[in-house]
Amino acid sequence: MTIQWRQAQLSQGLSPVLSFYWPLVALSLLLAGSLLLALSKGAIVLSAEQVWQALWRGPAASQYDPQALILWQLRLPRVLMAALIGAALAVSGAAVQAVFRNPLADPGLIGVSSGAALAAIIMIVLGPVLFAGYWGLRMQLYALPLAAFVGGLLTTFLVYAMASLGGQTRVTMLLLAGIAIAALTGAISGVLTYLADDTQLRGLTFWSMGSLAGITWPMFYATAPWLLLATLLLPCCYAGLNALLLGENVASHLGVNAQWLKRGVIVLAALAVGASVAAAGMIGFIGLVVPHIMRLWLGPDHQRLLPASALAGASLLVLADLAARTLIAPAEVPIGIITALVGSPFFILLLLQQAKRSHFT
Amino acid sequence: MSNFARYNPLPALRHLAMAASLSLTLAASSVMALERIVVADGALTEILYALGEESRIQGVDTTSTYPESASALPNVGYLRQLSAEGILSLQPDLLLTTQDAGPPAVLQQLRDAGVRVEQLQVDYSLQGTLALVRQVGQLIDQSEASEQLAQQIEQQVQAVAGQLADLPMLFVLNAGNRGLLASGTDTRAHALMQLVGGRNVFADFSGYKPMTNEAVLLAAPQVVLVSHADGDLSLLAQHPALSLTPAAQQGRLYSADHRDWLVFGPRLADAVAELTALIQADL
Repeated sequence: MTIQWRQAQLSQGLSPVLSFYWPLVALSLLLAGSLLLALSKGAIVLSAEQVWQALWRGPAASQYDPQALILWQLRLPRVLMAALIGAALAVSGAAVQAVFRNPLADPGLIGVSSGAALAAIIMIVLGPVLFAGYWGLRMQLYALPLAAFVGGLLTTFLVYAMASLGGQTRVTMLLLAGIAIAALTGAISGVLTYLADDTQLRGLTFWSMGSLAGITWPMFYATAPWLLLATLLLPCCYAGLNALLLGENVASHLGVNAQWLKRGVIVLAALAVGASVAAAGMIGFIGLVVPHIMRLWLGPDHQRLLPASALAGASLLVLADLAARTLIAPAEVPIGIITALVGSPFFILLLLQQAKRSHFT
Repeated sequence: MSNFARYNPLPALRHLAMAASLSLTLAASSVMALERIVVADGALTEILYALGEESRIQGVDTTSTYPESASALPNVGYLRQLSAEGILSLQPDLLLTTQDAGPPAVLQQLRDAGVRVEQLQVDYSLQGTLALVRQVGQLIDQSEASEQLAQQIEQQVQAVAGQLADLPMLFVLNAGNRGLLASGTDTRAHALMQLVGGRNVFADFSGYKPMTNEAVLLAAPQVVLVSHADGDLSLLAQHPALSLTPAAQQGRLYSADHRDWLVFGPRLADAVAELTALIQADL
């Protein structure tokens, strides 16, 4: 009796709106804190006061003020890019998991990562041959990211087309086609890796570990729209994705156009992952595990799950990049190593706790 | 964007560098040229030391392991994975490195921040090493000293080079359970084998490639140099192909680990002499 009374009192005390949204508020605060921390720390030590002054003076001040230069030209584009990539990868992961009705799905399953990787390898190994004469710094700066983006989208289109042969997109077929195409691109990548020389091999290795070290404003402006599109539009699909959890048939009885929903999610996720791979190389873990952790905490309701994943993914990548920049400064650790090294044990711990409480049957 | 993409923040960076010492003001900053150098390549670091200009070095990379005092300097990481803010924190005038340095976007960020970035073209040969020494000398305004150093290196190397007349040699990288990678042409290993006077048995392809056992038998190397074996060659001596080569049967399997044979810097003559002596002792 008393317990029931307590619960009733609690839910009356906290308004239902507040109790529904407080995790999102908490995650927003976490993100704001992460952004401030990431802006104020780096290889060059600046006091909080110097950071505020430099920010206040604006980007034009970087012409005469070295602190403004560091903040506006090096840290700000990088920190914002980390937040956007983290948010887009996590929210794409959550949505793709809903479409596949499989918590182990990650955005890479629709072929976008493997296609982007293949395109990048082609550019690294064959670029100097294909564009002999033009292959200078400019080409390396822009051709590689562009190729990765286009390659990711093309592969996703191929996977999607294979899965939609009968007019309707079948999830099982999508999954299998994704695996098959990933195997094929992996094989072609293997051939090119074999052909690569020493320098190119090392380039490939570092590209595959991911890094935000080269983010500049032009790169930020080129990729941010695609990332924003996924981060803002995917959470709006929450009702359809919730219905999809009950199965495609039930969802269509509930008035959800499952075909359009699947297509929309795949297109948005492919754009987001393609753009993030183009900007920062391969960053694993975020798209798979952040939505999973949020689901363990908040439950499967996508109205909360999608924005929570975006906020948590953004915070995680901003903090991981901060660690990448500062752990062994003035050198840097590739960020993919950090996300995997810190995130995976945490994830395993969560899974074990859940198993103990026998949440999984 | 464009209004601050191209500008010269050098005075501002200098200001940061000299915040402590106010006595050095405008006059000094116009004279000061390339006094603070971050160097990202082992051979370039050695050249700066050999020229007696180590006091200018503010930071090195992970490949700069010689001399020992270089590893006490701030380390900016691996030269293909440099960080703009990390390097800027050392307030350099010059980033001295090779064509291997990257990522390209970071090098561009450094240029935009007013740091002079010099990527020297490295050719792994005696002439390439001499050219590198001269280029460094010109850059840091020590042309005379560098010319002397280059001539010294040339004489030393020529005195010891080419003693192993046409000896068939094989250089392999141990790739763990993925077997052995043999060195073809266009590698440092190939250049070293040429310098000691040997003949690379796999001169018909370039770079490092996995080798088939039969090709190794057919090539019948008299000397096998192994890298990445952590110095332990007893396992490799039992390798199906290597064990049947004249090199293994006559005990001429050498580890190239923990030696600076492949640096191609001021100590090139030492490398050639050391390897030659090692092999001659077993011939």
